[in-house]
Amino acid sequence: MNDDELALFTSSADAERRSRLAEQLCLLTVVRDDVQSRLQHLRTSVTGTPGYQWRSTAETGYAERVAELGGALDRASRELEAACEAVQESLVQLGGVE
Amino acid sequence: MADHGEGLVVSGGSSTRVGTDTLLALESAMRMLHTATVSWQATLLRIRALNAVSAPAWSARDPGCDVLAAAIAIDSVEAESRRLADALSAAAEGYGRAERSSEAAARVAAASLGWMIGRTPLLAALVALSALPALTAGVAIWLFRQALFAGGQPVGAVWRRPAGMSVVTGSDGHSVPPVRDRDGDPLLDPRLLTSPLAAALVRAAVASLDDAGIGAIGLPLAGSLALGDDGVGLLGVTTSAAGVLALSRPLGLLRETAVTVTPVRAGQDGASHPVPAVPPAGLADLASRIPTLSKDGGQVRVERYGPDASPAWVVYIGGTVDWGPVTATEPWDLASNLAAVAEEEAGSYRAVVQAMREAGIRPGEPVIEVGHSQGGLIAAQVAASGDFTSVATLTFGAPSGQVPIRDGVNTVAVEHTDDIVPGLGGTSADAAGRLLVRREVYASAPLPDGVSLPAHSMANYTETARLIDSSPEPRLRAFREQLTSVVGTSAGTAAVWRGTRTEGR
Repeated sequence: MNDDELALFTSSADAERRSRLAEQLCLLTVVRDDVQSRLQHLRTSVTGTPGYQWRSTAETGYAERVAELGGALDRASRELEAACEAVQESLVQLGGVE
Repeated sequence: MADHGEGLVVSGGSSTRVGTDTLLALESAMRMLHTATVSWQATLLRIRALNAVSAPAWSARDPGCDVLAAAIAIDSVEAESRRLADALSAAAEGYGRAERSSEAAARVAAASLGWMIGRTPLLAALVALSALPALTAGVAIWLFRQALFAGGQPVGAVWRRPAGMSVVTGSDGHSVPPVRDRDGDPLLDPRLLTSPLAAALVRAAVASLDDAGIGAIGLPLAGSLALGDDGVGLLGVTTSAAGVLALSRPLGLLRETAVTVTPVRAGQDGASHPVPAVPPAGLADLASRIPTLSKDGGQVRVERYGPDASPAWVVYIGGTVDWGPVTATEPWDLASNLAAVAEEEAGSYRAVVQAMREAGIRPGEPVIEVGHSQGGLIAAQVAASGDFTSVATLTFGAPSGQVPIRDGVNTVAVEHTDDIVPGLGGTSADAAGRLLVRREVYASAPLPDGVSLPAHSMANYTETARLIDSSPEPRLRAFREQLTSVVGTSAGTAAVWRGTRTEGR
């Protein structure tokens, strides 16, 4: 393989990688936004009717589990955000985005 | 005003689950979250398949690490949201199962007691004398109340206030007059008629009237159970009401007559043409537009929305006006109450149908019927008749449990558990088809002074409708959305109709 052929091959591989990263970023952004939206919904409305006080053991137990669920969603949101940043970084390194 | 701290309990609506609206809304939200996590997992699999580098070759900043960590966190959310939704669903199923079991046991116990009373004339007489106010519903309670109200006046006239007797009908005009003596002291402790226990007793007593009849003619209890609501359904509240009518009419009581309707709502100019109306935005709006008790005003309000070529309608039907057993000119009377429960064409029913036809409602045009008390029973019967294209029915405190639900009619029944009136219709024949929303109004709040059946008042039902409007429960939200889609957002017109009995049918 001569230099020209090597450059062409490298360029083609980079283009392929850029395309895959761009698709990953697009999909990650959709999932991240949806996760963040669900997290917001969980915090504002899933904890019950506004003004309602959790009273029984079952209700307080449920509230604790909802809080844990919120924590897991929050973690997922942060990991997805980090994944989006990593993909963007990779694209920058490939010269795919400004 | 009553205690609003207690939530709404929702059941039926093609579901075997029972729960507070909050619990059912939480379960729905958890299911939606779980569905979303499954979709996220699928998307993350696609994302991971796009990785250019396999896991062993990942660098510290490779996106694959973060995507994997997110997938693990989402797996955890998926499992936990499913567990929570299942737990909430199991709670609602358990609640429903326990309620159905206790209701079935209560029905059998009441039927057995009714049959025993029917078998033993002395016991029947003792029960009638000692427990009439608390245990005997329907006609018995109404006649008992009438006897108290009449204070020596001829029974049967439209109720008039005896001198010295206090009357509080409430600002809404829907409250039932109080049971008080000439000195203003209560003749009957209001708590006796305003509690979940009283309501349950009334429902059981009404449902077991037919069993007492079976016992009286000497048939075995098994036969009574087999023919009743839990058996083949040949006997029940309907036949009991028909029996009361058959016994009363030879005495000149509870007679049915022909009816006629006329538009009564005067515009600013005094004319009787329709007036502008804003589309109802929710159940509280619907509740607040039900005509109030009045001997001179109308009992039916008809609203029309949408284009002339394809209008949509909302029909509001008021409650009983005249509690007297002797038929006068008012179709919203005791005779109509019993005729409606007996599934005969009550005077009020015929008046509503006439008003709807004269208002211009034609088959094929969507109609939402709304009613309180007797009006709710009539609303349910009009929807069940199929004479109009009913798409939804909303009843407040209506004894309409025995009315079948037609396919395609979204039916919501609002009942206060401390209101005895819904129980006058007996047990529910189509519990699954009807979305039942319950609330105990006076769980902890003191009863208001001077109103004998405060839990039945339209003011309290309107307050419950407000709570429903703010409920996140999915089926209640769907009912509000259906209302909006039917009536639209453009102004319409409203007309009020008055039905009157004509002499000698």
